[in-house]
Amino acid sequence: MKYILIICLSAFLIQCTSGSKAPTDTFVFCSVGSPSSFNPQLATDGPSFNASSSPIYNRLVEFEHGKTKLIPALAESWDISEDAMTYTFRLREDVKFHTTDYFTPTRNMNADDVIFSFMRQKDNSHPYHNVSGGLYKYFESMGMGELIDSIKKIDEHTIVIQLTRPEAPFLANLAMDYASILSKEYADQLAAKDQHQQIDQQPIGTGPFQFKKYMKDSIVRFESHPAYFKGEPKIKKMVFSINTDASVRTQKLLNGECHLLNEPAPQDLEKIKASKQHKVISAPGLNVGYLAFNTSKKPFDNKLVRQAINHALNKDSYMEAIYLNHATPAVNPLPPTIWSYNKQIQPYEYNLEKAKQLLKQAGHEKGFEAELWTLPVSRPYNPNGKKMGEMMQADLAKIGIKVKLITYDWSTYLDKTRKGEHDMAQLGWSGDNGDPDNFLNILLSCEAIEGGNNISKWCHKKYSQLVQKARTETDIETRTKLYKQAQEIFHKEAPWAPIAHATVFKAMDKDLQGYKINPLSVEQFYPLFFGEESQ
Amino acid sequence: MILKFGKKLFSALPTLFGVSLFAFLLIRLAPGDPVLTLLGERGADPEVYQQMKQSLGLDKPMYQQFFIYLGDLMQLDLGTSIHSKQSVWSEFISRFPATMELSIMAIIIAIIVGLILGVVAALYKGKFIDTILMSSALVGYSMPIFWWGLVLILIFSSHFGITPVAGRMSALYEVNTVTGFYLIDSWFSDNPVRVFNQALRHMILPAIVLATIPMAAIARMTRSSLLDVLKEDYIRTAKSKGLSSVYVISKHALRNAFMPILTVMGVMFGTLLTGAILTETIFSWPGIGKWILNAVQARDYPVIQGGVVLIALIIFVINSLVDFLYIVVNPRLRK
Amino acid sequence: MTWSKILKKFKSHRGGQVGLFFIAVFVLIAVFAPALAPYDPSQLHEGVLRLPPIWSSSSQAAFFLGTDDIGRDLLSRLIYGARISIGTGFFVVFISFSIGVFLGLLAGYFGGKFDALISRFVDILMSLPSILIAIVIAAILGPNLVNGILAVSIVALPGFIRIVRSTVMSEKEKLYVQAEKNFGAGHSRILFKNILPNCWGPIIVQSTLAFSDGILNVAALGFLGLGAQAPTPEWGVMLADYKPYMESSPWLVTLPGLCILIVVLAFNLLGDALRDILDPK
Repeated sequence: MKYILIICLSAFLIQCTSGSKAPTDTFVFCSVGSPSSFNPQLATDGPSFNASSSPIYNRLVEFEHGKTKLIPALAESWDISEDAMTYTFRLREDVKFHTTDYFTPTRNMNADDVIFSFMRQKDNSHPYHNVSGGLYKYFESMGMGELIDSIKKIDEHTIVIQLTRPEAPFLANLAMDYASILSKEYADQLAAKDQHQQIDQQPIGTGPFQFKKYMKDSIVRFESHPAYFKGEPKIKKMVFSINTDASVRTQKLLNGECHLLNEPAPQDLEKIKASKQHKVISAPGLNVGYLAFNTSKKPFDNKLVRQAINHALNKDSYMEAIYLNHATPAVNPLPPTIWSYNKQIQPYEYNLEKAKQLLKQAGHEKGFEAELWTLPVSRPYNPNGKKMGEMMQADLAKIGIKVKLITYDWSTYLDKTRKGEHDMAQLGWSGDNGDPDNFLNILLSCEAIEGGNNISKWCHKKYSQLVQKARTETDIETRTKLYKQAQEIFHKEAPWAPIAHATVFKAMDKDLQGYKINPLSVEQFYPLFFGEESQ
Repeated sequence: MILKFGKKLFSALPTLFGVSLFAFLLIRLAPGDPVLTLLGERGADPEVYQQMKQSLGLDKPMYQQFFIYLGDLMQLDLGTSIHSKQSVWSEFISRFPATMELSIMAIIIAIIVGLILGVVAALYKGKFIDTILMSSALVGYSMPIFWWGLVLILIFSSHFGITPVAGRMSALYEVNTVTGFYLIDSWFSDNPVRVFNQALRHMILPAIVLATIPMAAIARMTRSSLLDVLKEDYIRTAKSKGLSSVYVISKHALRNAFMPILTVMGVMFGTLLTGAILTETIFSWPGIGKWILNAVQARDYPVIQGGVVLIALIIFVINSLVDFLYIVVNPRLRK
Repeated sequence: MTWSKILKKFKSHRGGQVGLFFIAVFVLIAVFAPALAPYDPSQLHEGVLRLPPIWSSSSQAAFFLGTDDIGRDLLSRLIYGARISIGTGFFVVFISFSIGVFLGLLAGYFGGKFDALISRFVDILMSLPSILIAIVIAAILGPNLVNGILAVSIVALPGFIRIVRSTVMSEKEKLYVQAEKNFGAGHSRILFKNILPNCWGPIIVQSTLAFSDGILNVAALGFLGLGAQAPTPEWGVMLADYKPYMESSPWLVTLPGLCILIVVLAFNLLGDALRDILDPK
């Protein structure tokens, strides 16, 4: 009886399916999670940046669509002084903020907005500094607070940023999401009404889309910004459909309920490729997944042991089972697409004999027992930490290392690895700005031990000097040389077993045009439009 | 009547107090730091950590925290979500209609189908069809619904492609919230028929999944209580007068058989909310079940505390309403 | 009721027999898992990822029910899963039975403050959906199998407490108990020698149902990531673990779920039969 009912209903539903093709002025993006904030200054996660910095805001300089090259945006030009410590930016005069039912701008974007946006993050006594928690994680972790000495307004559309020391990646840092420019006029209006925190929940920016509505865990709606300074986007309505479940997102894409999937699950790719209505594009990812050895603990303080484990891990089998062959085995901490990648370095090949021999040399002929911590969440650089852990466990058993698998919830995991409580732990990194500094310094220098990101607790004086020197150097040739040397040291010392650089896949509707894979993980929606295949 | 209701509410206060204490204590004992969860992958320095802890009120001794919490509760202030920075009440109220709509739909399916199955089984007692129906009812009653949902998705969404896999509404359409029930609100949208159809299609699988266990329970109960009633004298008399069995059942037996079913309806609603947590997780249904599960996973203290108290309150109110209904339907108890 | 009478009644109860048969099968599988399973459940077989079961054309005879996403034998995992499932059911019943019966006796026999306190506790547990309490407790104790069992046992308490409490309350007023009391028998003697034997019927029925509920709830916790953790071959965990491959390899989610259903069904069948026989209303 139940089944009869189901069949009746199904019949009704099938009948209604026909002819329900979607309206074409609406673009739906399948987002992997709810944005934690609509202010990119406060956020650290991809879903928040996709929902804020990319559609709603602009920065002084930006990355060219699909590249890591810097192009002018809100700043139309800039000068850098001889000593590389004074940056003068000339701002565009024709940039308009969004007009919505909660805010109507009376003036164009100017120097005040830029100063407001930076000082809110830098100045502890700024009236907006403590709004919405007052945590500017990116600004802090990039060391911008100490790096920027002052920001001065020269005239309405000129500002000067004075640094405390030369910093090679500074311009690239300004193109990152946290450096988005907010409206001071809007902030002042809210302050007058004592509704400060609204600025982060009902955002006003200069970007191609303006915010309309948000329902947590469900949907974000945007409309096009008619007065956008690069011209109104072709897409008039944009919707983020939020789903944390990868197979659900795939199904939505296939059903035509969404048009773009930025993190399709590896196991669903074949199915999407098979669909005639959809296309899949790929590019090497700007990321690295690795197994870190805690060099402050025995026996991992011995580099022979670390090398032995590097030889014992069968990376090719992980490529197949964990990444479904959608990744390249990693050799260096740096992804091969970033400049200064050292191609000369030969990987530790999978060789159990060699591994056993190294263990013997290290005085651990009979092996030992150790903990291996597995990544509790799915990340592009490691889609399934638990499974990978089980495979590593089996591999290491072959050279006599008895591994106990351990994991915690994500926050505890991060906390404990930062404190160095692990023996071995899986982790990874996705690039923020395409600079080698963003990998080699942030993850492996002695300074990064205190900051926590160097979970190997590996402090190699020579290595650290090299990457610090490269940081203040502006000549790219010299920097490349320094970084290549650093990678050689990394390889010999082996504080990690680098596992993989995962390929990035994007799946989308066949009719969606103008999309380019962004090497940095944030999506750009402005160039998108619907149309027939052009060729 | 209202007085009685009020009295009942008053008598439930200690339990509700107990529930809030339970929620408060258990969560405080949990390992895992909510502040660290918030800070995420990029970390932060100890100063910021302290500042944040302070702003969340987690730096005070526990008993102080409890009195602050209780005081706020008295003023109907359930606190603010750590993650969304919105008040727990507004988060709750924006999700509650989704759960309500799904539950009502499920109850309707469960009652209608369950009654029919039960009546048919009773009429054919001992026959083959009775055995089949009652075996399937027991299967339904034993169903791990988190698996059942996946199987239905596999069949109807993946294989036939006739139902959506998740959510309440396709992102392509906009529903203006009037009642919060999409089946009703869809008629106020730009494209009523299509949006209604969408709403219905999104609802059908989760509603069936959620209805499965209560449906099986109702079928079993209808059968047994109907068999009891059919033995009674007045039914025999009616039958002996030559009235058709369909008439007898619909006129006399069913009404009396419905009583025990009504009694368990309240309990059933509790079961339904249990099911809702699992069903909403599988179908990404934006209701309170998924909300509270997410909060547990993210260690969003205020949401867990508030959510648990609110859910206890809903179950209590619904149980009382069912009691009330029982008295209305059954005049003998009206004294 | 005597044993022979019960046995006679049970012999005419087909549902109960079917239930008992399946329970026996699963218990045997659980006990002899190492002998029955063709492989170690955590052994990775290279080159055979997500192999379909034997009835499919691309299968291999060595893997009867196919392999999972990293090349483990599914049949072996399901067999060891029976061990965990039956085990969890047993422990849930054991814990909730011991504590529940004890608290029920206290509340029913002594009444007063004990009763008020215990009843309040039961009220609180009953005022929330059981899985919600289990979720919160399991999340707080830390997600693993032992804590999952504890959480589910706590949720199963009210059933035992209520049954024992109400039976004790009605029994203790009866003449023979009063007589014993007058002869100067101690509390424990009256409780365990006189009263308890009179409520074992409903308690056994409750235990059977708690068994199936326990298995179901522990599996649900595992599915939600708050119970046993991978690589433990627990059926609920396996369901969650294989869910991403639901469409490309449907047998991976179908089979563990089916196992849960059959075990739960078997216990419910037995429970129904026992209720008919021992506790006719």
